[in-house]
Amino acid sequence: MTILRFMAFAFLLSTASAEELRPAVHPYLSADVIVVLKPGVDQALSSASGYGREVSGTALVVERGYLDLPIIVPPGMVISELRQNVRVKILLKRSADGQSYYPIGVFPADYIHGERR
Amino acid sequence: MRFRYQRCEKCGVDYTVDHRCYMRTLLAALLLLASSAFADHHLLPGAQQVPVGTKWAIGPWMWANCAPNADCANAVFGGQNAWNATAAVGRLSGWNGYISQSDCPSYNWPPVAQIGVFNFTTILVCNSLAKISDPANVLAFVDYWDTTSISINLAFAWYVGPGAPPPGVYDVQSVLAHEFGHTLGLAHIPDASGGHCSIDPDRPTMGPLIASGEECIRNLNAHDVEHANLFY
Repeated sequence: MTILRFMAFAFLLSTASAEELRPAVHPYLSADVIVVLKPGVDQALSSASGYGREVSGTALVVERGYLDLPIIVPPGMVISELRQNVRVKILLKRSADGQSYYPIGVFPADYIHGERR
Repeated sequence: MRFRYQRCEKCGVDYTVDHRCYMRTLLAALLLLASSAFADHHLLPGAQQVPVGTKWAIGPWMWANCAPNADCANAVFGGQNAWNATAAVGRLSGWNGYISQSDCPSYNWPPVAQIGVFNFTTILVCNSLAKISDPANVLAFVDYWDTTSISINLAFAWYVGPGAPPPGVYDVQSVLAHEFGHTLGLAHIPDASGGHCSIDPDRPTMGPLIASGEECIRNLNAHDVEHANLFY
């Protein structure tokens, strides 16, 4: 009975936050370019309406691909903002017109895919 | 102790729908431990029906970045209204624009935007994602035990507007429709598509996964409706 009680308690703890909706394919796996960026200024990237916004900063490390096009956040996109001098690992995908990249993920600069944090 | 069962005609699993019975939670916990598949067919343990007239609110971040935008507001309302196709009609309506004080600065890793619930106290939101096992993979969740508040993970790119999001970007309305289902007390439904609309355009909203670039779960399928109707 003690074991059963423990199991039930452990279960209840394990479901304290009941919901997780997991990406079927993680952005890290589908990104065309992965870059560690150091923003020069604060930037609110969300562009829920209106025009796209260009992301600026210093690319410290290009982990995958080539950063040969500007990074534009297209209208209708909501994503975390950037803070001045706070390095982030940005996951990018090439836009449909091939003229820019758009972010699909903004993770800590030391983020390693598959590593449990 | 009072138990009342209803059977899901599609998946054949019995539900316990008397939320007043404390023992139901314990029984469900034990049964869930015995079979992980069983969990996918049931209400969340300890689920309580959302009272009619509950006032829903949106957190400061969402208020500042989302609510003023018609597409974004439509995504929130669309996620709520999807459940009006069930017996839970009206349970999620009544958002009054109240700004909760509970969500954290978007730069407090992991960044979280929250939709709070007016009737409840929400405090521990800044590190809410830390409660779950793998924040680098989790798009959104319901802080179920505290509040039934919803948080979305701003580390991932989100889309609001008509049509499908671009590849790699996740659809706010689809995910909120799913999370609002959890606030109603519903658990996951098995989904053989693995979260891909391209494999099953009629896949359940309450499936455990969602692919980027897709929006087919904005509306419920018959299995979602059936499960909601068992509880309400």
